[in-house]
Amino acid sequence: MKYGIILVVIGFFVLAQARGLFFTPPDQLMGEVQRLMYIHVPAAWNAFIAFFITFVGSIGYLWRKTPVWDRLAASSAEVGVVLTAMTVCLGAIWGRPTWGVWWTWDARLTTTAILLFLYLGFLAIRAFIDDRRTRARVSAPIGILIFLNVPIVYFSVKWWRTLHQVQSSPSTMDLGMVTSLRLNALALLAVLVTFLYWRMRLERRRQEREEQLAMPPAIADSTGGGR
Amino acid sequence: MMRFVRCAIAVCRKDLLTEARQRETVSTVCFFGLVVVLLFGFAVGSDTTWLTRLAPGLLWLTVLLSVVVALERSFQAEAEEGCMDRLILYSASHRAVFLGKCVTNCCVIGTVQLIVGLAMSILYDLPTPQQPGLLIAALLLGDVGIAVLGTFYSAVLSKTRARHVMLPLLLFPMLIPLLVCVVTTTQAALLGDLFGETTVWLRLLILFDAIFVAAVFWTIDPLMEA
Repeated sequence: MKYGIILVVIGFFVLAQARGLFFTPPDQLMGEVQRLMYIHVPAAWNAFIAFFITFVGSIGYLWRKTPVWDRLAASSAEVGVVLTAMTVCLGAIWGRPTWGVWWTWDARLTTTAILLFLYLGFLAIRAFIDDRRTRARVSAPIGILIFLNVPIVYFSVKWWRTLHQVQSSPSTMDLGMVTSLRLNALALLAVLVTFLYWRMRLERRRQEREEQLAMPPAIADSTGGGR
Repeated sequence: MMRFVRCAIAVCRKDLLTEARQRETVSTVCFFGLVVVLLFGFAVGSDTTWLTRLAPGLLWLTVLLSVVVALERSFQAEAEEGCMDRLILYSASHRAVFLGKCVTNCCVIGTVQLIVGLAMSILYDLPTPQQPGLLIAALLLGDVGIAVLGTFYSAVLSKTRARHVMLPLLLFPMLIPLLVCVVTTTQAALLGDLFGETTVWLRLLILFDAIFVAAVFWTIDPLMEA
C-alpha cells in the first residue's frame, strides 16, 4: 500500500507521455521532434515550482527555525536541479534540428543554465557542513538570495540578447496538443510531489539515525538505536 | 543606532589597520591583477583596437578573479583564532560586524580596481573616458555589489570545511547580472554612448545592489549565529 501511490504516479506519467507521443498530432513544421515539448516544457515549469518551494522553505526556516522547513528546502532544490538539468539537455537536443545549434545565448536558455549552477552551488555548500543546525542556518539565506536573483538574471540576459521562440499561446495550438501538454505538466507535478515526499522522509530518517548514533550507547540501546 | 555605526566603523578600522600594517592581501591581489592584465595582452595580441574593445570586460574579469583572494580572507583571521563569537558578543549586532567587513572589502576592491584600471589604460593604450561621471558611478556600484555578495559568501564559507575553491563557484554565477550591467556601462562610459542605452543598465545595476543589500542584511543574523 505504501508503494501504491508511487505506482499510481508512474502510471499517470506513462499514460500522459503515451498520449503526447502516440495520440497527439505532430507539429506542422517541426514534425516529430516537437514531441520533446511534452517533457521539456513540463520539466521547466515544474523546476520553477521546485525552486519556489525551496524559497518558501528557506523563508519558513528563518521564520520558524524548525528542521522540517530546511528538509523541504533541500529536498526541493535536489528535485529542481534534476528537472533543470533535464530541461537544458532536452532543449539542446531539440535545438539542434530546429535552430541548427545545440546552444545559443538566449535569455531563457542562459537563465536556466545559470539557475542550474546556482542550485548546484546551494547543494554543494550543504554537503560541506556536517552540523545539521549550522547547515540549515547557512543554507536558508542562500536559498532566498538565489531565488531573488532569478528575475534579475532573466531580465539582464534578455536585454543583453534574445532568440528563444515566443511561447505559443493555447489558442494557436491544436487542442490535442494543449491537452497533452497540460496532462504531462500535471503528471510531472505529481512526480515532483512524490519525489519531494520521499526525499523529505529519507532526510528525516537520516536525522533520526544521526541523533541515535550521537547518543551514549546506554540511551541508544533503550530507544532501540542498536538495531 | 549610534552604537551600530560606531561598531561597524570599529570593525572596519581594525581590518584596514591590520591590512595597512601587514600589507599582505592588497599587495598580493594587486600583483595578481597586474599579471592577469599582462597575460590578457599576450592572449589577445598586441593589436590595441582589439584590446580597447575588450577592455571593459577584461577589467571586470580581472577584478573578479583577483579580489576572490581578498574576499576569502575577510573572515579568516576571526575564524582561525576563534574570536568571531566574542566579536559578535561584544558588538552592537551581527549586522554591524558584517557591515564593517563589507566596507573593508569595498575599499580593497576599489583599490585593486583603480590600480588594475590604470595599468590597463597605460598598457592597452585606452582612450580618455567619454563620460567620466558614468565611469565612476559604474565602478562604485559594481564594487558595492561585489563587496556585499562576496562578504556574504565569505561568511557562509567561514562556517564550512571547504574554503578555497568554493567561493568563486558560488559567487560568480550570482554576479552574472552585475557583470553584464557593469561591463555595458563601463563600455559606454569609455567609448561613448551613441544610443542612450546605458540608463536601463545603470537602473538595473542600482536595483541589483538595492535588492541584495536589503536581502543580505535581512538574512545575515542567523548566518552569523550558525
